[in-house]
Amino acid sequence: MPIEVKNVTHTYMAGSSISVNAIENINITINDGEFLGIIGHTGSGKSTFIQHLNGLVQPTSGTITVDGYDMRDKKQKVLGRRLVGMVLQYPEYQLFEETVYKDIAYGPKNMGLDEKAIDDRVREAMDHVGLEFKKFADKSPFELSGGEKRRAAIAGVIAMRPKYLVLDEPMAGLDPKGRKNILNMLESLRQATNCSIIMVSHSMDDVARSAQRIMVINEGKIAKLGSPEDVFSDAEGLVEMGLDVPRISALAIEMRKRGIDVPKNIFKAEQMLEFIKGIKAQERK
Amino acid sequence: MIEIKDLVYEYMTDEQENKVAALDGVSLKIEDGEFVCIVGHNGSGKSTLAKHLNGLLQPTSGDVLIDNMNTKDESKLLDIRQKIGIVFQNPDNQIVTTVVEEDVAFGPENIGIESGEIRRRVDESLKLVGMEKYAKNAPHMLSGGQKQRIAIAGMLAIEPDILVLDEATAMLDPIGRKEVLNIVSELNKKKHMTVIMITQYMEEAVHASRLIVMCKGKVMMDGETREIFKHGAQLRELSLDVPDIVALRDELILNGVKISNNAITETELAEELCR
Repeated sequence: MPIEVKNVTHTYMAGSSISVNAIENINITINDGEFLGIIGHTGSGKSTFIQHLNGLVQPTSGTITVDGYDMRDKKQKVLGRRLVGMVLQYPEYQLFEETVYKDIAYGPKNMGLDEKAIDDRVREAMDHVGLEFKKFADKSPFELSGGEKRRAAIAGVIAMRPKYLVLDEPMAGLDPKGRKNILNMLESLRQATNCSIIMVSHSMDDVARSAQRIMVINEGKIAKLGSPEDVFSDAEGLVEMGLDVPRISALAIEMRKRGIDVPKNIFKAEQMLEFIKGIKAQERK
Repeated sequence: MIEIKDLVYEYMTDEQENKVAALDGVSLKIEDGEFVCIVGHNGSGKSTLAKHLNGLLQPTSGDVLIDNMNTKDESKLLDIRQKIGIVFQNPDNQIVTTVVEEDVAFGPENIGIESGEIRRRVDESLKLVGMEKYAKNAPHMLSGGQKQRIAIAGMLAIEPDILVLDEATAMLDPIGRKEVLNIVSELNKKKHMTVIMITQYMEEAVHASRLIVMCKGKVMMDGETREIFKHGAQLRELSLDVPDIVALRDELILNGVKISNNAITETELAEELCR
């Protein structure tokens, strides 16, 4: 069963003279096992939106159900929330235990699992994020590098075995290698456990590479929702919204300005390579 | 001018008291008015290097000279710190007051500038970063990009000759990143300020005329940005990537498309392709 978001509006300071609709009339069904990328610039409402998915924030109007649990209902929310793992920005700031093991065990422990089950989950989560158990379990989180800390923090959420994993900018501040590690890790987790990944990112190139579906939020509304091909086929429109586009789309825009008719669906390097080879071959004829 | 001679910086790792060299024999000269980008992945030593420029860190051995003043000479530190402004990664850690213009005035006040001059510098600095409208605002109500511009304005009010950005765009969104890059490019062009930009984003390096690549505490490559980007294989060995556009350019050439290996931005590549 999916997450169903229906006509959700969230108003900050509702009823006052300075009320603002952070998100407005959002409709989306998030399917089991899908990789959904969410993009939008600062203040577009994307963080407000994802906070609705586990009931951290309640809609001013509209409904959200997680596998059928109505997130507006106090009792149902508790059950729905167990299915949704939430990784906030810079999650490593929330590491607090003496060892990596204890930190990852914190969630499962609070779920009331016995020690054996907790141990299984910690090992499994560390395996998913690529932190070797022997090497890292007894280390203090503060001895880890930035990228390792980030992975340990994500492992703490994975240990709850969420059906939906929501991540707000999981690669922010990491170097290119660290970014790639996290992206690959999320994709292999999804394939191994069939959980859904819902990832907010500023990096169009990262979203273009990994997401199956992309939701663009602009001024609190869904501006676009579709496959990467659909969304990036309107590169000019994204730029107008003040968003970045994949570098290859930016090149396509520049080429179109100079009279080369680049097809709308090109946003990956491989596609662009084939296209340019094609036009150059024709020129030679 | 900045002169770094055989700079070594070692620190103890707490377990076995093994020494680790964060900087391992770095020698560099940076002339006035240059726009230099220093790249390297986490742990390459690039931020440690930045902290040596104004004496926040002291060399284990070797020297750092700013206009011939050695950072080891404590009597020169105040002068050195007026010449070099460093902007760090997190704008929230660099803002100290509750009103934007007071924050910008904090630096010049501390070095004893008289109040009329402070007023002039604050107004000018805020204008340079395009934030004059926000002078009376509270910093915590601003976006990340705006806060980082305030942090830069605070540096400019000290009127440094050299501006160092230590991953100052890492926490910003693409728009904020562009804002900051545009401002420092302008400062470099119009005010001939020396700009040293430390970053993990290869895409940002295309703005600088000189690129220095660091790995494991050493300078591995140093040269004109365009030239460095002609050595994609070497960069990848250092687990760094060339920008996507440069990677595509190289692929095209490998596939027999006749273009030069000069283009490093999408505009340049588009122009090459239209010839």
